[in-house]
Amino acid sequence: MDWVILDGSSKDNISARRVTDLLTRNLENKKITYNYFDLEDMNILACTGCGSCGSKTPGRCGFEDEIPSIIKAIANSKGIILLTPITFGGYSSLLKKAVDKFTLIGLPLYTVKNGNLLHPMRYGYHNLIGVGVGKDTTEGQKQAFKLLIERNALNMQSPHHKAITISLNNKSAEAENEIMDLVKEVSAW
Amino acid sequence: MVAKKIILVNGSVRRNKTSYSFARTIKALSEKRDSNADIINAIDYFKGKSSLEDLEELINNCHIIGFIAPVYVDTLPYPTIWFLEELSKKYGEELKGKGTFAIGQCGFPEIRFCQSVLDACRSFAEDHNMTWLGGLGYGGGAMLDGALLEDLGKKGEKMILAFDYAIDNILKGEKIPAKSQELLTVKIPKILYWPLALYLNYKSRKISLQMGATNIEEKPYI
Ligand SMILES: Cc1cc2nc3c(=O)[nH]c(=O)nc-3n(C[C@H](O)[C@H](O)[C@H](O)COP(=O)(O)O)c2cc1C
Repeated sequence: MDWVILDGSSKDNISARRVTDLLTRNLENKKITYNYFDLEDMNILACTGCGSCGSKTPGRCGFEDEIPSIIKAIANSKGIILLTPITFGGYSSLLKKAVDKFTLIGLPLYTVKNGNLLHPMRYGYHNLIGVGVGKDTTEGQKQAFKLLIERNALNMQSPHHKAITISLNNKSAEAENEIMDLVKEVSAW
Repeated sequence: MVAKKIILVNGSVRRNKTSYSFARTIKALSEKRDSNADIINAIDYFKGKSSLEDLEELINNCHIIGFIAPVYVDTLPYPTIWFLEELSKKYGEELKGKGTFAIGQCGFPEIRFCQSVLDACRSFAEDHNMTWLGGLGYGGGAMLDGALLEDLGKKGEKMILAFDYAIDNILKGEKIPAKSQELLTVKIPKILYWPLALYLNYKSRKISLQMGATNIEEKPYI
């Protein structure tokens, strides 16, 4: 699969789910393959910060949940698409329950790249896309969302990254165009 | 100065580590000024050990809410975001007009990695018409591993002073001063990053071996 989609919106968030549909439809039109994870339906336990995944059981969480299927998909993909209602300028808790476990794709080792102290990655380097959906999202919160994607991309040393914010006040044609442009751009990565 | 009531939210999933150490110092500094500070743990509400309903009185009576949280994959940990979402749903109206501030602390020695934690707390304040009193970042929180600041010698004294300046302004309803961030910023010359990385790698590999793992770079999912 080319991409892993982590959907951090709930099913009753109809507008956010419309963006999910737009995205998957556009990827399919371009024959770009993806693995879709509806996080609302998944049992992913909160990271306890125990550190086991770094030292005792490298790359594995000591608690049993459904995160291995996501990590497996990421390991075999070219990148990750994070879909979320913009929540306090960042990710919803639904999305963050999976993102906290990205420590499983990092190594507990250190490297220096372009003057940054970083963890090398366990499964190579993945592109990152953030799609934030919001109603009345302030400009400051949109910028905060973009910075968060940038920081995740730096952390993961993503070869390419991109963040877009879609306003639910937008006419549906605008949202459609934004998603089409995004898919067109990333199909070249 | 009028005595204030403060809620300090420990946003770590670990109840007694670095975020808590910072919170207890801020509590002591507030109490030195005759204000009252209660520390609550977001994780206790997430796990259902404490009930969100029981927060009503505390929230109604407080003037200021401070968030002290670690950076998890560049922003607040999942249970802390959940806690903020629940606070929004249950106490959105009650939060209006209260003061708020945040302290983010992360593993890497870079305060800029705390920015998204501060952004999240500032956005939360903005969503609820709270008064944003500012944020502070600390890089290197993992190395402290919950140590009490008074046990850290000169470094700890500087950190306590940083929080002292901050709380002094916060209790007056003023923004955290820039000198707090200056005192809290550990400046490691970038030239030392490579030797630091090599040392940390040596330590990580040693710990992993001691724990019985044979290959720290194992790829269990391919
Ligand atoms: C799951 C997880 C993710 C983390 N992500 C980051 C990160 O993105 N950047 C960083 O600098 N530190 C990161 N850290 C390190 C913590 O921010 C640091 O250890 C912090 O001091 C923990 O706070 P506590 O002792 O209050 O729990 C992470 C730690 C864990 C367990």
